[in-house]
Amino acid sequence: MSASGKPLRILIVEDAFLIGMDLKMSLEQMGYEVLGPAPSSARAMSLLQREVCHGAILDVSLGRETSESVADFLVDKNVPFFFLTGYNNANLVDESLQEKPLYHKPMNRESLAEAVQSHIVGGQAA
Amino acid sequence: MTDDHPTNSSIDPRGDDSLVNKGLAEVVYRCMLDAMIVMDHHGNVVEFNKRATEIFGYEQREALGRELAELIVPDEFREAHRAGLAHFLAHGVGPVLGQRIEIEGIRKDGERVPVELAIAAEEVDGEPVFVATLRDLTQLKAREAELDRVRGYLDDVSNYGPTVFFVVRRREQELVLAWISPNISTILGFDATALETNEYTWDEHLYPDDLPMVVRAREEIWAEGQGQLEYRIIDLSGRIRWIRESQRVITLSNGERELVGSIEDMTDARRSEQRERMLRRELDHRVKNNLQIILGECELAAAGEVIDRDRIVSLTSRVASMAMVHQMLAERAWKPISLKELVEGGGRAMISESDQNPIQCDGPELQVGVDAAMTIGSVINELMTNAAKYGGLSPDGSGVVVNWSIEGEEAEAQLLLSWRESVPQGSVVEPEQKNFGMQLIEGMIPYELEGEVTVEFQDKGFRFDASIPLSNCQYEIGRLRGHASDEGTSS
Repeated sequence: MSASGKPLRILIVEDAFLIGMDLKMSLEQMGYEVLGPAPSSARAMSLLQREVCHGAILDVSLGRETSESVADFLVDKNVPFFFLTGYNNANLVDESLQEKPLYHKPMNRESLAEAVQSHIVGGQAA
Repeated sequence: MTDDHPTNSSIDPRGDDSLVNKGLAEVVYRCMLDAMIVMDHHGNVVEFNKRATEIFGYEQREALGRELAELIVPDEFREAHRAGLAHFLAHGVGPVLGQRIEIEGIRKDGERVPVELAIAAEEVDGEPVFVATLRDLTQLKAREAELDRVRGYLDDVSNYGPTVFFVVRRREQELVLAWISPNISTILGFDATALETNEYTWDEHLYPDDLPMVVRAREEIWAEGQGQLEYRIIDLSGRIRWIRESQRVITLSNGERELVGSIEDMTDARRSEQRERMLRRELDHRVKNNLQIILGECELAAAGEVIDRDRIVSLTSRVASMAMVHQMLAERAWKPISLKELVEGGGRAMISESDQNPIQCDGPELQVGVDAAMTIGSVINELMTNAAKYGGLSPDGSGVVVNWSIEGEEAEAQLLLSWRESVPQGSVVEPEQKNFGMQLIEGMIPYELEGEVTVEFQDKGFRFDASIPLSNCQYEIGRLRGHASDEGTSS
């Protein structure tokens, strides 16, 4: 729950449609609201400009780009997030982002719930 | 008359009849290693030594008294020879006198023999005599021809061969390029002369990060005698090229050392290595993504209170579709696939039991990149599944027509893909709630390929239309995944 008592709203950035849909369904069933899924950083940024966002799950590689610009924005705004990647090494260029929590696909629902709990719910400013 | 007896002409170079000089002339004559032929002012042979016999095959007795022009001068020079003699007799000058010239003579057996010829004229008893000394150039000419042949090969290799060769010498502290083969211009675009004259240097085109390593490696090779190194250079058009340099130090006969080496362009080999690496990464990534999808679907299927049979069936079909597209792409080494194959491949699973093909497809040849193929393949599979359950491919249906075309130019070009099912009039029922398959059909192409999709449930059957930016269909694997920066610049 957010400070106002409403469900936390989580942004999903993921370029694979089926994974995005699955994450969305999973998070909704866990009682969160979902922003997205967004397949590109441009779509993600336009959602972030317009909507309240309490946390995010970011796929690292998005087609011809990465989600690093979105991550930088979230760091700036103190919005907690974690990366979820299908690559062995995450390919993060920006060194400051390499300290951010990172999970590897495939991730089952249980691990997803735990990750959201510890990094997003637990990361909300008091 | 033989060589062992003095000839009947009295030759006296200094016009001195002293016995000493006559004796000396005799010794010189006998010791000469060159052939000597003396001709009188009539043009006839008056002396013909042993060496001349060795070269031309005539015994002295056969040669004496014969006209020289007839004896050993080739046809084409015979008249010139006679005219030259006449000219000399008339004017006292001859262009060939006192020179060494290379010319061919005719042997007794008719063969030509290359000779070096020197002619001097002297007056004896008031008439000129002509003394010709000749050397057989046959061996020299053969060696020259051999050298020319080898030089020709070297020219071919260094002008047109696939490997660049070079020689480096040490001048004071520095290693300096002494020679580089001209094919460097065709292989790497550099000019050999510009490099040799230091108009620009090889090292100033080295990829800056690699320069210290190269300088160190060359010094090691100079000390150890041989070695190999690989590094990058930036060619004149600014492209990064991978170079393999092999070197060996040789010691010349004067004790100096020089370094001979070869340069090969390894760029293509490196690129294919890079592609291999990238493919392995991509494959790993895809497998994990697919596992993620399957995991998600399994969890969805298992989440309900009761086991949802439909969900299990659609899960199975989706996994089968992923496996099929994967198989087709793997067979083509993850290169682009033709859209026709993709559509027909998707249909094959559907029509295995029926004899006639209920799926007609038509459109221009179009190669689709791996990522777009995965997306389009999944959508086609979902359309097939739905058609088999409810539409054109169900027992009541009368088939599916798939067409595609390309509209617009260049950056604006769109792939238009249409799917038309035929069913008996009135049998189409629009589902009340969109199942997951329909969400996929409508959502996947807009989401992953930035295309537009419309679906319609018409009386005659279900219709699906997609319009996809062509450029998003044609990205090769890796390009779409955002690793274009790998290309050429990283190791």
